[in-house]
Amino acid sequence: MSNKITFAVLGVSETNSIFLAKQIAKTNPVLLFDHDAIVLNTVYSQILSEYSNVNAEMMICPTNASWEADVIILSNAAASDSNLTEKIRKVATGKIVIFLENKKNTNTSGNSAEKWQDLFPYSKVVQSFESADESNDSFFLNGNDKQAVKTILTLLTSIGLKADIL
Amino acid sequence: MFQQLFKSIQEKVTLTPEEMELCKTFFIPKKLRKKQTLLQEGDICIYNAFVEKGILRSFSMDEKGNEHIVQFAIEGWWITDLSSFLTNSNSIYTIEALEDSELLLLTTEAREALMDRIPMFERYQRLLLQNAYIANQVRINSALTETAEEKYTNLGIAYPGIVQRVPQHMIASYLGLKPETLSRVRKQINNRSSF
Repeated sequence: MSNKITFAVLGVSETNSIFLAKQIAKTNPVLLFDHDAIVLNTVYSQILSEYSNVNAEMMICPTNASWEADVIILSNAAASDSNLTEKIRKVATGKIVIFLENKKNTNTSGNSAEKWQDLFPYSKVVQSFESADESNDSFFLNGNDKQAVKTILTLLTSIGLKADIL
Repeated sequence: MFQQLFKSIQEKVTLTPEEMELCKTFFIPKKLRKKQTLLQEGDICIYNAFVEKGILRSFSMDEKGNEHIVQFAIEGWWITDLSSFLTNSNSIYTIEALEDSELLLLTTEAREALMDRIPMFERYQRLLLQNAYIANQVRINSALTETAEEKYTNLGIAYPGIVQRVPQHMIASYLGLKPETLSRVRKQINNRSSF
């Protein structure tokens, strides 16, 4: 039995991060964090009620969640929280950090990619864009580290999501 | 987060402050909870793990389901399946945390890159391998020539931190003894020391 990749999902108050957290929890361990304890509790309870035998856990500290994780997923809100990103930067070295972007609001994907890479210079930054067609099960991936992008593409498609590389 | 690593490195070689900062960017910080595994037998071992905090063991399992512990690693030690790590072959060992642990992981690529960028790190790695080879020779000699009591006593002298922190049945497995044999040996030692 192979080791499973552990994900930290930081920020679970947005549709795309909630959706992704639920989907990943079906197959992989997921550590959930949100500053809003009520939101966090709600999403956690939803995951437990919707899927049996999931390996999901609420975390009270983003640093510990990211330290324990192999892959870190940041929602829009979490990525914009400089206090949070500062807390996790040191424990994100060498790990894949996924930024969930809203495609419709992202006209300058190149610039934001550079911004995230500057923020996490020693991590493998992958951007995940929502599909423009309103369906939230399709993702477009972008990143400098091709192997990291491929890893996430493989993972998303393996859990039944539609994903492609930009 | 890097306290034990730099202590281990500085015991063998000297790095400049700049090299130490550079060094940090090559390691993946990873927390493992008690009983979580870093490596499963059959997988390719992609990490050489340095223990900042906690304790891990590597073991193989025979056809009857008996575990055979080949190594423990406490703070300041490295643990990996070296053969799998260096040759990209399937691992014959499982590596598991015996306590909540904090690790610094080095991939093969990062290790190579680090040795290229910091020649002193290559020297450090060479000295580690040298010491590991000597430790293995000592272990083989112990297995072939020592009595059960000598094995246990010498382990306690060489690595008191391990004997104090690890369950006795795991110590027995590491020494190649049955748990009841180790129990008898410990009783004999205790009886002698109480007179």
